Amino acid sequence: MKLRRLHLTGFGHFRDIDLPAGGADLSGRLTVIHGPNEAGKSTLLEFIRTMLFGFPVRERDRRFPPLAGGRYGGRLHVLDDEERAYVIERFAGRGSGTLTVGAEHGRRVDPATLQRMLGHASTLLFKNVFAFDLDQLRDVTALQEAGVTDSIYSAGVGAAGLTQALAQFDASCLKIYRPNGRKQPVAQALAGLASVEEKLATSAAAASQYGKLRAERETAERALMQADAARTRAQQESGRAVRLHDAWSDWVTLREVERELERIAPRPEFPGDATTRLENAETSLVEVSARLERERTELARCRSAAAAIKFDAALLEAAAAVETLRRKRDSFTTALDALPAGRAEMQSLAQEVAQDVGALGRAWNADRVERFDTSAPVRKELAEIGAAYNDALRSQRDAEIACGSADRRLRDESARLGAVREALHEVPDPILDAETLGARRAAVNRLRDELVSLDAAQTLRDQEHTRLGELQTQRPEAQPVPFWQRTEWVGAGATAAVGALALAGGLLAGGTGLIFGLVAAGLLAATAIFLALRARKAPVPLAWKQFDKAIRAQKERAADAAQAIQAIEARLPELAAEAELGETASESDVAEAQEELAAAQKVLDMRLEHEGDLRAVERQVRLAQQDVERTRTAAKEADASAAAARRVWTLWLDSRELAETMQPDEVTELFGRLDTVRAKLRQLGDRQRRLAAIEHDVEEFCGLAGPLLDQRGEAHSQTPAQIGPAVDALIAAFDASREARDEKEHLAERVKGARRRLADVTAEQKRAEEELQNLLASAGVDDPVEYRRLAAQQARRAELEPQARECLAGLVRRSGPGQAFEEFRAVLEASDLDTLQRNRQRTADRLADQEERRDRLIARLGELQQQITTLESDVSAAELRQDREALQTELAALAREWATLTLAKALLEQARRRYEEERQPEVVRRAEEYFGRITGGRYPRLNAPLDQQQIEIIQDNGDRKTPAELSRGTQEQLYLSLRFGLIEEFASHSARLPVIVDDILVNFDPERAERAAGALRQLARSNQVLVFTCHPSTVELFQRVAPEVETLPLPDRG
Amino acid sequence: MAIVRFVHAADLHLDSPFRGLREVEPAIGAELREATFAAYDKIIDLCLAERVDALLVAGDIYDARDRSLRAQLRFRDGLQRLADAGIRSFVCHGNHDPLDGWEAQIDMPEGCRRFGSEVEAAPLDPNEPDAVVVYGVSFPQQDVYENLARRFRRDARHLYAIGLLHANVGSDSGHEPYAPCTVEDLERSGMDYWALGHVHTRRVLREHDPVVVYPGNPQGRHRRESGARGVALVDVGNDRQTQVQFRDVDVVRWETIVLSIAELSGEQQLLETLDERLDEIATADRHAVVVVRLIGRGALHYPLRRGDTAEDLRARLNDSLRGRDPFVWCAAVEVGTAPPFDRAERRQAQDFLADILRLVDEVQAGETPPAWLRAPLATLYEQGKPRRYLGRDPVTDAELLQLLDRAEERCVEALLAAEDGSGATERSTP
Repeated sequence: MKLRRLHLTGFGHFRDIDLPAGGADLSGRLTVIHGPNEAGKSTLLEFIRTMLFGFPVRERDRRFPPLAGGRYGGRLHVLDDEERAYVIERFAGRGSGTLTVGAEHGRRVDPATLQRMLGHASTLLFKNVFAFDLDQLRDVTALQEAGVTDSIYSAGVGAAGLTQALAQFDASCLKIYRPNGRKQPVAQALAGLASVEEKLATSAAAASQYGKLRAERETAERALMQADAARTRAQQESGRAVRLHDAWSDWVTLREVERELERIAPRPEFPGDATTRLENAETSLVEVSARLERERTELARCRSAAAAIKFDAALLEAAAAVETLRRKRDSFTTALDALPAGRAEMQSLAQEVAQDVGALGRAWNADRVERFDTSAPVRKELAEIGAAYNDALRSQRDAEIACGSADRRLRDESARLGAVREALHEVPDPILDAETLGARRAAVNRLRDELVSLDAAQTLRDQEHTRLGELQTQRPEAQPVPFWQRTEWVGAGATAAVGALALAGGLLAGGTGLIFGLVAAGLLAATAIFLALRARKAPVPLAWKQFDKAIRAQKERAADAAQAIQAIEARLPELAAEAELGETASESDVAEAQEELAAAQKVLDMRLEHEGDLRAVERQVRLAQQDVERTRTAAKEADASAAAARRVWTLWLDSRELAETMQPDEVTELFGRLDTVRAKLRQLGDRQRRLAAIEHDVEEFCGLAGPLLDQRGEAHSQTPAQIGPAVDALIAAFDASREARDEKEHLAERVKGARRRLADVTAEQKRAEEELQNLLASAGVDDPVEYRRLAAQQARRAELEPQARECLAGLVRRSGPGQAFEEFRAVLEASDLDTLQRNRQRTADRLADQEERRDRLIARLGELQQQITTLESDVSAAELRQDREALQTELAALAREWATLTLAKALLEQARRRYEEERQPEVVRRAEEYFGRITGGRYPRLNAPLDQQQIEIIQDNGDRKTPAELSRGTQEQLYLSLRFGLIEEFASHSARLPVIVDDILVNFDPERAERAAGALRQLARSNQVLVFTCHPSTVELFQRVAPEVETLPLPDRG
Repeated sequence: MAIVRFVHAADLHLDSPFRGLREVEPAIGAELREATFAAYDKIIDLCLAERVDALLVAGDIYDARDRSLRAQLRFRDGLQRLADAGIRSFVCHGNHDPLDGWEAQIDMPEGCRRFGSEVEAAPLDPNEPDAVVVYGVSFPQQDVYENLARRFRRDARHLYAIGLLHANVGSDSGHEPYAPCTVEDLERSGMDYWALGHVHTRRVLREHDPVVVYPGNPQGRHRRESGARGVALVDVGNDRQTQVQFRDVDVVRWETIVLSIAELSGEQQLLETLDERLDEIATADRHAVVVVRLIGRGALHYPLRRGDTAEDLRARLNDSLRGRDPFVWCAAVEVGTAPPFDRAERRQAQDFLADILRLVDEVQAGETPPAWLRAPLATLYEQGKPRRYLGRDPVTDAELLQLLDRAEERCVEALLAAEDGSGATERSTP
């Protein structure tokens, strides 16, 4: 690949920069690009790397963003190894940027073409081997000696991560498994497996005991059956011994009870509760006797109490009257209290009514007042008739007033008529009638207007003449000159003529004369034309022309004015005749005539005004006369109506027996007063009736109380005021008597009840006595003491009998019925308690022994069963097996991961081995050649043993050195040579990539620098070489070593 | 009308553990431990429901090495249920439960016939000794390399003869070569039906004269035993025509999801796709244990390779599956993906990486893997303790080449990472 041209769209400080500038191509295979520090060498180096291999994926690794603007990226114009041209364009974007590869004519090709062009070299390979600066050269030298070769080889074969990968795989393997390790997952899984297997072995061992356990279980089951039988026998013996022992107390009791029972003869006639029954009978008798005594005492007490009670029977008989008095007692007091005030009030009201009636007049008394009809129909009648009467009187009055008013107006109007007539007489007669006067005034006015027009026309005419005069005065004196008289035209004409002559002369002379003539004619013609043009352009004097025009116009206007005057003057005589003035009437005549006519007009107007007034007054007089007549007729009619209404009213008054003189309003007022008096009369009546009722109540109360009080011996002459307290005492006495009577009646009832109960209790006492006797008789005794003794004996017997039965039943229960009981009893009869106790203890001990043996067997059997069940249902082994599988799976996974990593490591090592065997010797051979040349043959050979990761340097004297033993500059020369070797090796089987070096010769002495430059020149035969430098001496060096070198200055920053 | 109807089962492997599970939830672990028993119970239920005349079990009822008393008792209990219903059972033993293997002293129910180390004939119905007869033989010990099939000779009086044998017919390479024989050996014996055991995948080796059937094991226990598992339900008509139907009895099924990351846009889509696929499995009416295998080249390769991503993914899937009934358990997420680079293109380069790719191709093309490839593995696989356990599952040549592919991926990953300047990609130890 060869770079032809670089275009930086935006990269670092460069923007839209071409290298070489001006669109040229890099011409040679060796190019030195020079510029001062910071001119952008590193930027260009990175640009080329970026264009070929892409932008760093991580943003932070992109070190040359477009600081001067422009799109981040650019283009490379390249030739591939077959000299085909391509354009590689790349701009920053996702990943390594947006790549476009174009072939000739702009045709796009597969971006993979670039990979092929680059021989699939990696970024790192390019960076380490093909495009590097001093720092990178130094970086390599700074590495550890053992790592140097590795690193350079790695770089050389594009396996930068080889060493790292090997180390990493190794570490990962050891993390998984380390022989004899304990913490690694494999070791842990193995330990887990061992533990699980141990548990499984235990479990399996337990399972193999299954058969033995089952056999043992069968044996134990048989032994248990035997033990069960022995235990049953022991239980039976022990049980009998216990029962005999337990029966001993029953047996002893039974014997004692039976002996006592023999001593008490049975008395079946004695009931079981004999004593109780006796005690009950005795108790009943005592109780009944006590009750009899209580009833007797009660009877006596009631009787004496009843006898002690007294009351007024007569008063009680008057109960109804007393109750009436009690009911009316409160109202009596109220009436008595209200009586004096009611009487006084009634008297006052009676006096007031008498006064009101008296005020109505002598003709009135209470009776008439009561009878007089003031009902609603009468009131309505009064209102209607009264209103009609009043209306008639009002109409009569109004008619009289209207009559008077009409008469007054007639008088006033007649007086005005006389005054107007007098005024008319004093107004002079008009000279002209209105029509004539109007016609004359119009004619005079027209004449005046014409005279005014005439005056104006004359003034105009005079003004026009004046203006004309002025114009004529101001007009310039000079007359306009004719054009043929003007000098310019004369000059032009003369010149033209001379020209013509000259031309004619020329024509005649011929030869040079003709020429002269033509020239002269031409000059003269030109002059003539100039003069003519000048003459044409010269102005005519303006003022004269304007004045002339104005004067003519002014004359026309003056003539027009004169003509107008003539027309007016022609019309004046006719107008003067119409105005009845002389033909020569002047404006003053006209003014005079106008004044005369104005005076006549004034007289005429005055006359016409007075005549109008007279006609108006005469019309008012006529109207007043008509009013007088109409009002008088109306007054007569009103009088008649009023008389009729008065008659109706009088008749109505008469029918009511009222005075004829009364007017409707007075009657209405009388009606009101009558209503008031009548109301008071009714009030008086009411008061009288109420008072009478109160007085009646008082009398009635006294009447009722009187006899009763008399009966009790109270004085009858008591006043009503005194009667009240007496009645109160009476009522109290009545109440006390009633209460005493009720108490007495109640006691009488109690006496009756006591008597009845006394009889009952007496009978009861008798029955109790009989019952006691019967009880004693039934027992065949007549003494309660004997009865009690016998009863106690029978009660003891009744106690003993169940006791005997119970003991017997206990014995039967323990022994069993029938024969068994008899044997049991016989044994008891033949034994004593000690014997029985000993026997019980002996059998119990034997049973316990049997029980214990059986329990042991059961426990063993349970244990066996438990073990068998555990084995049968044991899932722990299954769980352990599952755990074992999980661990084995885990182990297998670990092993496979370990195997993968181990194989990866083996693969890397195998590939490296192969590389070292197959490729490395060639690289070393080529490097050796370059290194010998650069060092001037001081180090003619290099050696790279396959089994060692390092290079040996062999001196010309055969001594061997390691790279670390070389000087720094020589180390750099060594690694530069190795790079050259790699570059050539790469080119031999892959692509010839451009080599770009950035000031790498600075540490070389001049001699070696020159030889290194020569080496680069040699390299340039196969690969394009670009040398960046900031040292002019380097430029000179290359120019000296390689005359064909192309030198380019670094482009200016964008 | 049928002459006989029977169920043919084999390789019950009762109480043997599930393999390939690094860890499970306790409840699911309990279900898995119970799975072989539950499948066996379903076989008994099937016999009762189908009213068969007999159950034939062709060996490997349990793993004698495990000494599982529970397995033997549960087996006996199942046969007891059949005996109670008047169904007979015929049992022979195979390499996992040979006659000399450990056995608890358990009495088999009446009506159960266990065959000994010599071929014997037992009538299916004692009342009809010449009708249907079962011939059978058990492994006297585990390692039986004799062709036992040749010992079978049919008695001509018998109406229908069934051979019950645990054997490797046709040298199936996936199974141990015990009691090896050929289909022709079986044919020559004169049996009408060969009820075989040993091969765990159901298959009919011959459809008539004789009918030769492996019913497979009734419950898959590891990822290679995926898919439906069960027994053969056999009907023999009056014309001696034999109808074989396979009936599924497995309670937990192994499933494998193979998913390529090539078309996946990212981790979210990966999760969604896996959720969908797991949902499909979860709709089945039985429990499932799932292995997810991710393959293909793509950008997802890097995150999947990073740290414990695969294990985290498995945990996340199991979290989302938790609480389902029937359960679905993701046993493993296997990352067999490759980085998204053009291998063929890269192989053309002249650098170290291309050298590696070419080297791998060279090895893959060779007949046997070279010594430099296998030798380093000895450090682990041939050491004392590890060998004891890893020996069960040695690295075959094919597996070695698979491992080589994975190793190549690791190399590519590491070298590309170095090229990118980002340093070697973090690797994790599992």
